[in-house]
Amino acid sequence: MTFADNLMIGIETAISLQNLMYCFIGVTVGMVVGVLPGIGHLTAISLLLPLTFYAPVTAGLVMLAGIYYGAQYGGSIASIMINMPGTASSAVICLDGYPLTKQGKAGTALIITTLASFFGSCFAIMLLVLLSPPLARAALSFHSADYFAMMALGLIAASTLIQGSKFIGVASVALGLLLGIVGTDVSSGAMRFTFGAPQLFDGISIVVVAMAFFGVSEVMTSIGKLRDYAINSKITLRSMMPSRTDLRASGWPMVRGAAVGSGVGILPGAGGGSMAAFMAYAVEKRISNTPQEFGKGAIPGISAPEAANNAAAQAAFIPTLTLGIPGDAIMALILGALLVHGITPGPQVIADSPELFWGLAVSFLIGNLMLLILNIPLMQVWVKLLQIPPTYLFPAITLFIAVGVYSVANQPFDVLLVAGIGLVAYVLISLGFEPAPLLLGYVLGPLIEENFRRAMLISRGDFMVFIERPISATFLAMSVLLVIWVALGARKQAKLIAENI
Amino acid sequence: MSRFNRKDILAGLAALIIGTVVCVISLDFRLGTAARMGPGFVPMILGIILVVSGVIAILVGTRSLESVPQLRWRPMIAVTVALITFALTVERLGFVPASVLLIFLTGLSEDPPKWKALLILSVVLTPAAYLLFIVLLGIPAPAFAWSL
Repeated sequence: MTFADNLMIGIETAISLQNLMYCFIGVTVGMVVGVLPGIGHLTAISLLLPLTFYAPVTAGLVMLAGIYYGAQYGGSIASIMINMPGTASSAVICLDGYPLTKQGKAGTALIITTLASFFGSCFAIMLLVLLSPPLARAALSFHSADYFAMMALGLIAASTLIQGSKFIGVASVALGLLLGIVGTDVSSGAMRFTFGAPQLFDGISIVVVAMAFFGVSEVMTSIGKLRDYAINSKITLRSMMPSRTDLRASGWPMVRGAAVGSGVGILPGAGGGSMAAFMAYAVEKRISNTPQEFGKGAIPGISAPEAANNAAAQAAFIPTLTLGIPGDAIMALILGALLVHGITPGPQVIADSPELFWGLAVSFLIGNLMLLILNIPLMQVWVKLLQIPPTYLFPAITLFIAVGVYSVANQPFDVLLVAGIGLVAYVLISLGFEPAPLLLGYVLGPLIEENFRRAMLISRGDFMVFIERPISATFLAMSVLLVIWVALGARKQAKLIAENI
Repeated sequence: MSRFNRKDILAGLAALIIGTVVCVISLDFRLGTAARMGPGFVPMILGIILVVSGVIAILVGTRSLESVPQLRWRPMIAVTVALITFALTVERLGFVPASVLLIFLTGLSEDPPKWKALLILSVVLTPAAYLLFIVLLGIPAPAFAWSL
């Protein structure tokens, strides 16, 4: 099939009434949770995950993806207006966005970030469409040993590229892998870690794990903590008209931000938006002629990171849809949704279900257009949303958790399970365990075990198979390099701490 | 500050304990050989990874100074009790009473609870959730029931 044929399939799928509707719901919910500082897009996607089981797989994914990139648009609004990031990946926008608000230029900042978001997204969607098919074809020749090595690289990246203790990061991934293999062992039929409960024979549902780690623990962390905000600037359409100087100042940073964001987004385990935004900001500051302006309301300081986090959000779909390797926790949820619908993620997805891949790609474009339209005339509405008292938010989330978990199998047992795991999750996260790598481990658990066991079976128990195959050896070498690089960084840090004490 | 109050040490201890339990449980399954792994092989490896990373985290943690953030007992108890209550009542009392109970129990997380907001939430949110999940998605739960 030619590119044009595929594109036609994509357009046909994406403009069906049902998919348009799910796309609209997705981006609107994404905007709302993006704007509200109390609730992140991970929580929102976890909460809406059960709803996708009632929809066809493409429609469900269109909605989940819409929440993800919609939240990237909304996240910067809170950063700019109240100096509090709506989502983690828009934290950098506070640095220069809030100073602009204090100078009375909130409208300019909001329009620039909207345009940067749109540009960054479109840039990465083009990459997605161009890179994915050849990448998937190349990956068709992967053996189980290669798959194992690739997933190992993703998990090692996820556990080491975190802020806190790397060893706790490794422990988080291991715990996630264990949660993933609860239930019936595929090859022997043995019941593992079910403690005799028949409800666990099919494993712990992804909905339960996601809601425990991103729902229940979030509520326990944040309820009663958020205060009401005062918003001083008035946003009118007129105040949003950017001047020509502002537009010119944001042009190249947008391009560079989109490139940096796409690069980071493609890497598995790199954690998506936040890192992309920080890197784009650092790049702009370094090459700027006026680095002293950064932090005081520099236009490149908002346009580059905003283009970057949106580009990363779209580019993250490249490894997820072509290799079946999720780059961050959100992609892990998307992968989980695919698995629930009986689709095994991997290089065969693009060839086997072209309407899924191409429909999704075209829906991204439509969704971003919807967001552009939702944003510019309706900006005042989103800003108003910031004034909803947070008291209303958390009991509503808890209700959504309970009903959503119950809806998966109509089992009150699952609600008890989410309460128990949620409580443990809150304590573990307070101690420094990382929920995102853990979820990645949970989703990859059964896949990585299966490929590991199959590779070992074929090699008759010889561990050398992972080094003898060039593809697998490359991934393992990259993992080793990554560990060395992180260890060196940690040593440098320890030295710095030691010198400062 | 007490040595045992440090974040990484407690986290490492948690990993150590969970890993040990996992290893012990894995022994009940057949481990198998590297070529033909039994169901216990991979869990055993993961248990060992947890134990090792936990021990290293404890050793490294003795040099770090970060203390554990205070656990928020009130929300921990309130939210857990709210979810358990929902699980126990949704089929026996029905969806509506279970939801209202959950909203108010969750609200007890705040000190003092915001009664008026919780009342508004119950009145607005319960029918909305009922419409979405029971009517639209067809989840078989009764609105009201009485079968203790």
